[in-house]
Amino acid sequence: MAGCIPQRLRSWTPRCAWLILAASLSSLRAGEGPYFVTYSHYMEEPGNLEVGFINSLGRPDQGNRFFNNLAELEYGVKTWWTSELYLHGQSTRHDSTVFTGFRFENRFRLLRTEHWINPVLYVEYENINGADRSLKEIVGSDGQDDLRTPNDEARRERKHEVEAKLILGSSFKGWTIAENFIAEKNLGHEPFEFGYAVAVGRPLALAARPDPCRFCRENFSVGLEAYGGLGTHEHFTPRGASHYLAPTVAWALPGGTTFRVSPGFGLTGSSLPFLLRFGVSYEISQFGQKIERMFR
Amino acid sequence: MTFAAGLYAQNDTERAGAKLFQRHCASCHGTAGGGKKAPSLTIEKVRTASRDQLAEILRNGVVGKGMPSFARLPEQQREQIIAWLRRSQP
Repeated sequence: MAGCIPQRLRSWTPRCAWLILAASLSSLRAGEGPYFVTYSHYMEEPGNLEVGFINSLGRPDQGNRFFNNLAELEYGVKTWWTSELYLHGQSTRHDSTVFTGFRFENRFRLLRTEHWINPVLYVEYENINGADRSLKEIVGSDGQDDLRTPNDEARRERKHEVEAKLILGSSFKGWTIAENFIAEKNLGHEPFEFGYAVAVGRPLALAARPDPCRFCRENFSVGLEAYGGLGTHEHFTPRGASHYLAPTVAWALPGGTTFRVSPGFGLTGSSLPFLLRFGVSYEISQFGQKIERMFR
Repeated sequence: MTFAAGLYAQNDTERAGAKLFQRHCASCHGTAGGGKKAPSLTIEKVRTASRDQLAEILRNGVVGKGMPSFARLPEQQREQIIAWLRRSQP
């Protein structure tokens, strides 16, 4: 086997193998849509558990290529409350593979019925280190400069952060429109940082076909999201921050598996030129009930 | 008369509705709509409900009773589910 692999790739194989294997296993993403960064107002169904992996691949200018992996568990606690746990890890070429931390999110739907604009409150705690490459959201003046630091040095920086998002979502003639306003605070005496994410998306077909199908248009959704930083409370501005525009595609199979992919294009000098995100998720129906039955 | 999914679906709209019901509703309401974790849909109250009443429930859910909103489904797909739920109404 090793004789078939070019020499320059052999050093990658052991480090990347587990990440590639992890990426090939089923499931993920939160927010119920084809997006990777923007949250819609849709909640996870109560009792359902969605398991999955979100992966991102990028390379900062004059830096090393990295592969970041997020493992996600999303659970519908109530119709109005969804919880998520993420575990972060990344592998950087010519560097190392590291576990970079975790985050715990909760989303709360504020209104009982659907309206033109539906608000959802999002709160999160994250405990990550400076080697994190997830770019799960962009706040402040986050840019590709932060992504060039070697892992050994970057991981020494610990970040305990709390984040809140105001999620606004709408459904209109098959389109889903979402806007997120993000405020983040590093608990270690850093300023408040702000960011945004907006997205639109739509299934390729609004009506379902009468026969079961996998590759029919109703199972595909396309979208477009834009996200970036808005500076700090001391200097609130989009200038100098990184901003991205990313088309998205999702393919939802009838059995609960969803595949997602999104090429992201940096719009400013501080943005990564290109960021490829892809992920797979699997939804386990009535997971909470199944666990309850085990303990009766 | 049984309420088995797909049975007695007389046209493409009802067949599509039956398919969507299996995908989105059967885990709680049962494969045949007879109830499971969620109430039966074969009861008189549901079978005689108007299209508008069912549309309201599908769009908003019943938050207090654990039924999520299905506004994430396009309106056309919710109408297909409603067509299948109502297909046995007089």
